[in-house]
Amino acid sequence: MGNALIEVRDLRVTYDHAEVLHGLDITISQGEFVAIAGKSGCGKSTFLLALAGFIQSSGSVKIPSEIGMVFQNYAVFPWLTVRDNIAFGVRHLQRQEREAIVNRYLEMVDLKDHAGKYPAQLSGGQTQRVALARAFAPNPKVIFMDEPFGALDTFTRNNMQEWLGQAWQRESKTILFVTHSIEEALFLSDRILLFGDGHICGDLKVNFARPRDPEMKFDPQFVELRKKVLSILGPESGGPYRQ
Amino acid sequence: MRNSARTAISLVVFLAAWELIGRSGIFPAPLFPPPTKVAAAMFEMAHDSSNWPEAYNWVPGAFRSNLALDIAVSTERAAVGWAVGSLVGVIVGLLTGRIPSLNAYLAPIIQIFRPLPPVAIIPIIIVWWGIGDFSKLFSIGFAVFFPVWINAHLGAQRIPPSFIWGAMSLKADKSDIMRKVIFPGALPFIVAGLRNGIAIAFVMVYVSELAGASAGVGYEINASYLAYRVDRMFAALIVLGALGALADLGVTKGLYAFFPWLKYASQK
Repeated sequence: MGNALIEVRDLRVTYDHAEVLHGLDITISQGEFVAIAGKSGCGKSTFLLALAGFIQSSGSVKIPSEIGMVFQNYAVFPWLTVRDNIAFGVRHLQRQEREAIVNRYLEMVDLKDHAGKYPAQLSGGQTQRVALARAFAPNPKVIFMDEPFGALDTFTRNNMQEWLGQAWQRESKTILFVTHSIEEALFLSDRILLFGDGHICGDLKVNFARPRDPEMKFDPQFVELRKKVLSILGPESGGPYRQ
Repeated sequence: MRNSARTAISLVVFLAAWELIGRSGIFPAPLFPPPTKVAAAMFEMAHDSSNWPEAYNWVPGAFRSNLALDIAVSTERAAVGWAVGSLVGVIVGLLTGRIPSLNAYLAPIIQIFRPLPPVAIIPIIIVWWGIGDFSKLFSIGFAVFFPVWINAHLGAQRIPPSFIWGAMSLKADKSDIMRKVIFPGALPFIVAGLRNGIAIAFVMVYVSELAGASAGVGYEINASYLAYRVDRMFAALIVLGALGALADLGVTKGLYAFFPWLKYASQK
């Protein structure tokens, strides 16, 4: 991987006089798929929100201004159709250009037949595909994903993981992906940042070849790396990690 | 059985019971007229144009009647007062719901006025501005403002932060966020406030027309009371209730036609 796209130095976040992120230093390269894993309440989502500038923090953060966001609760707008949700981030473009982009992403997420529907008329997986298409459409340099598949059933989640892996390869974006699932983190990412109580307790490279097959989750190397991650996220990170 | 059939059965049973009790002699007939007498009184009002103002003589004769005039005058007052009160309520509610410093300035003042019965301000309004139409419209708008404000305020406060963050990541500025995220996000609450406001508007139409009105359904009820015509009072009350119900139906249908996603808002 090449140039540093995101540089974070001594990042601290305080809620109600209690520090929840304790001076993080991270560099993320352009085009990297970085998973951020750890227990609930360890500061993973806070880290993303601080990087995006949505909450107050101290320290130095160098990050491109073009970011996309995907949340666990989808956060697609219920009052806009699928088409208009995807178009929201490209609303300033000329109509022809905007339509071309929206149609491209409608096809990419396989929702062309649902373009006129409202999010409430879609399944959870379809709704999350709208959220992903909306984040990709303005062509951001980096996309933050905060447990985007956390609310999906296992089968839909596996399909979405495969879809995202392929989309990332096609679109060459830098992705920061928060997840509880170590398997998901290993399957999708090039690198895993392990969070424990507001600090980074591990930074591991994931060197599996791409494109990745779901069968790789049974590969001995994959299982070994999973064990390693679980051991790092053990009692030292603030308590036993359960998955 | 279809719901429309159930509604029809319910209405027929209600009217039949009322007719029977009205004709039974349990109550004095002039004090409790049966529905047939009330219908006759309504017919009489619909064919009496003695109160018709000369300024409206351009209306074809077949459409001139005291009842039509009362309906037109009351509906106009309710509509204008409701529209102005709602507009101000929605704008102020969205702003106080999202801007804590503005809320700190305005909420205590609004909260002091909110529990007051709106009819209690009518004497003050008459002292200030007399008994003309402006006073009536002001009192209706004043009463409608509060339920619309509190709903818009709560709706704006309950927008999930992820909606705002999502919009910010898509380069939405403050104006975009207010118009394209906060307003539609608060709309289910605002609709509840607007519907509540319709009912209050018709209460205030009636109350405001008790003093200094020369037409209107409230005026008609008061005039019939002074003439001891309970059948006409019933007829006017039915007209007032029907106007309120039709206004609620019309506004709700209009909002759902304009914002079709609202019908899914409570499903997920």
